[in-house]
Amino acid sequence: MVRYIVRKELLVNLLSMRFALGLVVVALVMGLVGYVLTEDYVGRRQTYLSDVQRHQETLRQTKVYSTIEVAIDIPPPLLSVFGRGVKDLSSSIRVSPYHVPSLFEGGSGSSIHLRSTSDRPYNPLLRFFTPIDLSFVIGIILSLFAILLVFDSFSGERERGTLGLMLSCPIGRVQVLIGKFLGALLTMAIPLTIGFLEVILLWALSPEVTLDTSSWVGVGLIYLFSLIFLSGFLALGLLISLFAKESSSGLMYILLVWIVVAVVIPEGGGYLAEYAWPWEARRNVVEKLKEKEDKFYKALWKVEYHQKCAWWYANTSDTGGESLLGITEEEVYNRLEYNKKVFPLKFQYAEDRYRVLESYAVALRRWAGIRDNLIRPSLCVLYRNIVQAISGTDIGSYEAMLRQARRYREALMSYLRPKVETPEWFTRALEYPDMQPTEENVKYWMKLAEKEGMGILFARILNWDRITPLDLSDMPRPQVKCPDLAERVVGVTTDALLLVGITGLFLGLATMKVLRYTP
Amino acid sequence: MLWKIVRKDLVEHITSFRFLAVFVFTVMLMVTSVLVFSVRYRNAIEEYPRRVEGLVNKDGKTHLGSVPCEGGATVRRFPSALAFISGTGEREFPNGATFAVHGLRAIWRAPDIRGMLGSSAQVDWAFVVSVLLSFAAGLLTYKAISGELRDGTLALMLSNPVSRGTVLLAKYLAALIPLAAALSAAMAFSLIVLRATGAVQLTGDDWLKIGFVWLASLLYLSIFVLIGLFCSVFARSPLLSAVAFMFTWTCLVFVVPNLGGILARQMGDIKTPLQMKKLSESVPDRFPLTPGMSDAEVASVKLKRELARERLLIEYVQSMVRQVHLGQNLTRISPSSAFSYAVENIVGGGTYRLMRFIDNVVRFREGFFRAIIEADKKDPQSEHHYEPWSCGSSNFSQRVVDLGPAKEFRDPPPSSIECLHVAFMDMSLLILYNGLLFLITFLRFVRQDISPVPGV
Repeated sequence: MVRYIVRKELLVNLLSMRFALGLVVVALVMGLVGYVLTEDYVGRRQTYLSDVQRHQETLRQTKVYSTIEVAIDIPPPLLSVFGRGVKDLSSSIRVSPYHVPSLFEGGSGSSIHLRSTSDRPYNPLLRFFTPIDLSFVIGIILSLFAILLVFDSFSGERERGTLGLMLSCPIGRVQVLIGKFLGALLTMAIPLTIGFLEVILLWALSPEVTLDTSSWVGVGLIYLFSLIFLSGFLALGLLISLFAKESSSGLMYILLVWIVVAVVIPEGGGYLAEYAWPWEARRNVVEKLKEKEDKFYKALWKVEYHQKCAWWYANTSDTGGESLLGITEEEVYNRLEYNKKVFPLKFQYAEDRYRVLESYAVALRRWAGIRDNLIRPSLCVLYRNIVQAISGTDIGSYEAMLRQARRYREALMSYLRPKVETPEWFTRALEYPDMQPTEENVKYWMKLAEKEGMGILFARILNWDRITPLDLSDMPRPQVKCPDLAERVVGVTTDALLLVGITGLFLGLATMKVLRYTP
Repeated sequence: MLWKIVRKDLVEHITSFRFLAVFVFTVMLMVTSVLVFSVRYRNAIEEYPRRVEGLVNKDGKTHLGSVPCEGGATVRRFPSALAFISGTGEREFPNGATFAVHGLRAIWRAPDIRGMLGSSAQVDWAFVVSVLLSFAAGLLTYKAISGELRDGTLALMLSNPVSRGTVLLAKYLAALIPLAAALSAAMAFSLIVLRATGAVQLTGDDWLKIGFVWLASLLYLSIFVLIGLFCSVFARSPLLSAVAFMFTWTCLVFVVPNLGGILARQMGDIKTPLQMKKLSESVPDRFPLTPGMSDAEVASVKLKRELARERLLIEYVQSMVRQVHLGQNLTRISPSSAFSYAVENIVGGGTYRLMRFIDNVVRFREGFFRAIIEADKKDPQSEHHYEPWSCGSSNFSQRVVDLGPAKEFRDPPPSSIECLHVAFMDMSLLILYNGLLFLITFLRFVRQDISPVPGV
């Protein structure tokens, strides 16, 4: 008997004007948004590939060990089309002896200047418009569509007089409810499926997009959770339809509830949490960082250094690596002794800074936890969290990758620490005697410079390009990747359970009401 | 007669649960936005740099000789005192500038941790009015006509010596007055709360801006009252009016405004960073150095190059602003967007504020430059050549001086007159939409057949 109701509901819905209009709107918007986001993904992927190449090339051209910096590029996940995730996350994690990757990775921030080599149009001012993803479209437009389908399920039938007729049949009231629910769910599945197919079609038509098993599984999971999310709204709509005296006021009430659930709670709850923002912790961090800086410099200046000869072409830094080109052999060993004392200080400074930042990160995570719990009661927030986790764009995945990057840094440091005791840490002058500023060399250089200017000296002799790059084949390479789908989904089990639970709650309440219902 | 109808509907509206619910929500959200703003603003002011980093040391003095090589001086945009009304530009746009005294070098926004740990919430007054109160407008009017039609009371009312126009006007006022009252009460209450927190001192100019925001909100709510009335007139039953309003409201408040960014990105035409870099690198070709030039001439040519690069950077930012404007123009068809832009501009935010900030930075830089040239002239040991990126020689003075008022960076917000100028188009649009909607509603209602439709 339920089957009959389901079929009737389905047919009535499919033939209604509101379904047709809603379907058109959904198809248009999902198509448009899907197209734009896919293009965006393709662009980001190209940037990623060129970044990887560029970083590998830089590494290949490293001439001295102390300037090694490994940039771990994070590929953009294809599913970010569904869940954009948090913005301002850096697309590459920097690992170096002088920098421990933390949550405060430079970030992409947004900077406008004339020195960038990116070949994609860039306009950070467009953040003025809310960036949207498909989960936004589903969360806002499809949920409204769901409401539109069911708000007059009971009240409308009562007004038309057919409810009494239906309940007079030998069928349980609960079965009527379930029939309406399933009918509506099947109806909603149609625009949802069409939307997803549009996106998949766009991906298939785009040559740069490749789908692997995990992407397919991800899409399937997002589809499943979208259905669950929409059934939550369907259940809510049915519930309110039972309470409403007339359909039109029922619609307005449910829209009010929708505004609260979809808009006010997610935005307002986050706003409320601002009150708990750890401003104190932030100021402490600035002070502590200053403390560490002072401590480092004090220790640095305690180490004495007597330079034995003038350096020709040197790049040094208090807190980073150094590369010296034109120095004598004697000076090399002089500097080596100094570096043996100084570089461990620099490494320690990097770790100290990290520890300070991490304590701030802990406070921030705690704040984020409060904020997340404040906004959890909303179906839309739960849905968004789940989609982000499945897409791999949530902060949890990013932090997991940061942890992997830090472990890699430790491996890198065990490789590099012994190298501090070698000249190749900061110079290759021993291998290129004609670059050492001995008396005869300098005489020759000055003669050359007189004739053709200093420029020729640096172009022909004191030139880093002449030096063969280091052989880094035995250097450990990073193995950082996004945690796999299973792990990510397990991370949002609570949210998934809550989503199902809330839907069940609405259905349960509707069941209770329908049993005592007087048409 | 008009006022009889108004009074009847007004009482019905004010005593309804839904109006009360909306009113309570509005007040809660506006007060929350004010409270959160007070905390953020206080902290932003505390963290605002007191001196220009890189150019002025802790004692307020400047080492003239190192200025030509200083390429990393930074200043920040002054936080907006009215961000609780509309905070989009404040939150999203660049708020810092890096420069050398001979030319601007970068405009940036520091990455916001808040944004990283989840969506940065935005519940300012513009949001409350454009989403919640616009919906309330529909709530009050969707069955103004169609409800009476169904109940049969419309015919009764029109059998009185009252014109249809009057009835429409009465319904309009009966919905707008409670909304205006709710808006005013909520705004007043929030401002009292703001005063109580003492976080910000509002100037007379600020109050003027708040007044205009109130006016714009009224115009905006009037539009949605008219949309609700139109749906009510257009549909023959309250059910259909409600559905019609729902569609319209969703499209206007959610779909259209959000599509702006997407379309602008696809359609805008700006150069890539790489192209800009190449343009910057080709600047020396326009200002070549010829052998045999004196030191002074070399310094002058290099200065021209830096200024040309600054010009390029500013044009680059302007092209980005144009792309944003394109997106805004595409979405202006929605009163929601027109309203948001109007409020953003009245409050003195948005792209206008950004360009103003850049102007202030350039003006400061030029003033600072003149001041150091003056100070340098007084030093007899200097050769008085300012050569960009060259320092430590006798070209320029090596003294350490206090440059007086020239070392203070001032970034005042634009005045209310200026803001109104910028917001003029959107305010006019709001008035236009009002006029259009009233016209079509009136024309439709005047010709409507009011015999009650059976069984609907």
